[in-house]
Amino acid sequence: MTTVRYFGHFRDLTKLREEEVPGGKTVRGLLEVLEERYGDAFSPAEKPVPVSGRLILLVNGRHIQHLDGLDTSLENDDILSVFPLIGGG
Amino acid sequence: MNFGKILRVDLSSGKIKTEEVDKSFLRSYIGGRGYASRLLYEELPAKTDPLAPENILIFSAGPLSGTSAPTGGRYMVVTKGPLTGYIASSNSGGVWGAELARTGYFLVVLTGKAARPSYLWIKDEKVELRDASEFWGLDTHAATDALVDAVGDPAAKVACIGPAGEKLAKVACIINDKHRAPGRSGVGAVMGSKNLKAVVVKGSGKVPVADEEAFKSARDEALKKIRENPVAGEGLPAYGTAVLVNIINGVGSYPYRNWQFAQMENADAQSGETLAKTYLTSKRGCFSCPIQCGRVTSVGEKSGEGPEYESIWALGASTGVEDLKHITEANYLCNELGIDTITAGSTVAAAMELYEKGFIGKDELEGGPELRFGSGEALLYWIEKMGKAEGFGKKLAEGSYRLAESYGHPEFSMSVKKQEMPAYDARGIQGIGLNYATSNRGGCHVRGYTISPEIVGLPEKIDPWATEGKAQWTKTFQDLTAAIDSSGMCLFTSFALGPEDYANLLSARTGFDYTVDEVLACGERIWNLERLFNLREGLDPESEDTLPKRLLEEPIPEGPAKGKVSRLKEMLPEYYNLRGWDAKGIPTGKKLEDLGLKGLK
Ligand code: SF4
Repeated sequence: MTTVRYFGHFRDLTKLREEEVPGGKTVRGLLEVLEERYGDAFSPAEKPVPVSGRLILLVNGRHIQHLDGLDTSLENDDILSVFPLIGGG
Repeated sequence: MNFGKILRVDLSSGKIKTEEVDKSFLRSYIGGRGYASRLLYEELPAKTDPLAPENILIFSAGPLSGTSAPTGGRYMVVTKGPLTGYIASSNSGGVWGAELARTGYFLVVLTGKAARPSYLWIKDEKVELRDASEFWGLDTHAATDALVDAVGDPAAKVACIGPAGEKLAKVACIINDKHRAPGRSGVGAVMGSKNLKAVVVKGSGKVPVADEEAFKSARDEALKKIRENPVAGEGLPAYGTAVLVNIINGVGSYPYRNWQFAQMENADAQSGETLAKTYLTSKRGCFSCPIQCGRVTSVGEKSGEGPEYESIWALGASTGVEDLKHITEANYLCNELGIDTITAGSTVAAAMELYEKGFIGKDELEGGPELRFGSGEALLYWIEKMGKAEGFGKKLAEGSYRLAESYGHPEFSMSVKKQEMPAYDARGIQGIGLNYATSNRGGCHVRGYTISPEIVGLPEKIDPWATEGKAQWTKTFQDLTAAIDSSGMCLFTSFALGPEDYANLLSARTGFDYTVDEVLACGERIWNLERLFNLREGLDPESEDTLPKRLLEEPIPEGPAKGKVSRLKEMLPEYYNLRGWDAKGIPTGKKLEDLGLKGLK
């Protein structure tokens, strides 16, 4: 079970802030589950727009790029946070 | 090409004169921040007291201000800052800057001190210094309405100070268009020290463009890039800046309770997502802006703009206040009193730590609410006292450094060069720490926003925990930002645009034919000039290009970045080296020669 936290418009899309999602052994696998449930926005495919151009994905607060990217493995109790690409300051 | 004129007003004598801009300066300093810094460097005698009549206060448009370039409505306020004692260089949006450019004046240079409260009324080429006695004491909103009435032109735009600037509070900002601020370094106090309540402008001219065709194509190209960019085209318009709360908290670098912690359990309560569901009523943008990141909100009877991300953090997380209602009200209060939200919130936070640790005594509060972390009541009460410089608020009005130092504990001031740092913990995000330590105006995120690559991943994702490569990123961002600030465009365009876009727009506007390298070189020249200014004012790089002890020595106690401290010392020598400065942080003769800065006094 991975805890998935949603931010930005993903909350509107899923109507959730947080849920437990079984079945994803890696970030990619989990995104596939989410894609199935909620549609393209969660697609792990790199085309037409690469994942890093659409999503900021943190596993336990660390950006997946500094872990193993989409192959980052997920253990029980891990938290995946899904943000749209956002900025400000 | 007509670049607009320089307007000089000696407030002491009331003498007003105009002069032409120097085209070679314009080319090498672009305008806005750059041109004004050059002028300040040349004309301000070293070691001038920032609140003395001799200080020079400059309002400056950029060449793209008032044009149809996307976000082309920005302007700068440049002066010697009373908070830091170094160069103050504050950028603002709204419509005031564009309006100034349309009067035909590009720079307003104010010296001296008016004999009584006054305001400057600029209507196209006509300039009048008028009595402002009846407006003195008014908050910024009431003053704006009254001044628009007084000049009899409902389309006039007002930049003014509130009670804080009048009282020479070092936390004071200037407020234009009621909700936008050249915010930092105490620029509002400089205006107050000159007895100047406001600068009111109305311009009916059109800002000319050297090559209409090229301008249109550069503008269309830039607009397209902005619209297609996920941050500038979607994220910022949809959520505003406040959407950063959850992500910065998520990576464990959201400073909490005066930076004692780096994560806040219920940060979501003050996030952009929550703001959108509670107090948000609509969106608003500055002049000619396709991004429209401004948020219009209302709480009870009151309405206004913001809070923006940095303000939410400073007034909220930093003070431990969770409730967005209190934060939004505190933000309104800051705007009305004319105080900088980052410095105000951080100063209250420092006071809370000093109080909780027993350094500030209860008797000093004269019956006001106790300065306890998390108290929204204390936040609102003490912000008001600070803005009016009343009672203990007088001490708060000096900013966190002077406050903490007066109790013998400057280490509780989370500031660099006496200016409070903003909303990103430099222990969990290494590059931003290098930027804070080297920023020419003290603790600041918008001199070199490395958060873009370190957190958002634009233009590419780099590791916030690493120190490698951060010196180069910091330098590049600092130089590019200096150029953007000088152009009259908004820094937020840089999520989508690169130096070539600014070069194309500037070339078409001015006819100067800027290359990408030249734009970056202008930025570097401006950066070095600001550095020279600070060195002349007595900056000691060894003790001042640094971060508060807490960030260098106390590891983050919890969350994803647990155990991290800032490794500034690993980055700073490389940064000096890349800058062409010696090991002590002084620009070398060769560097100054390359930049055309040799021989400056
Ligand atoms: S992006 Fe935001 S701050 Fe910048 S000009 Fe547009 S509305 Fe103003």
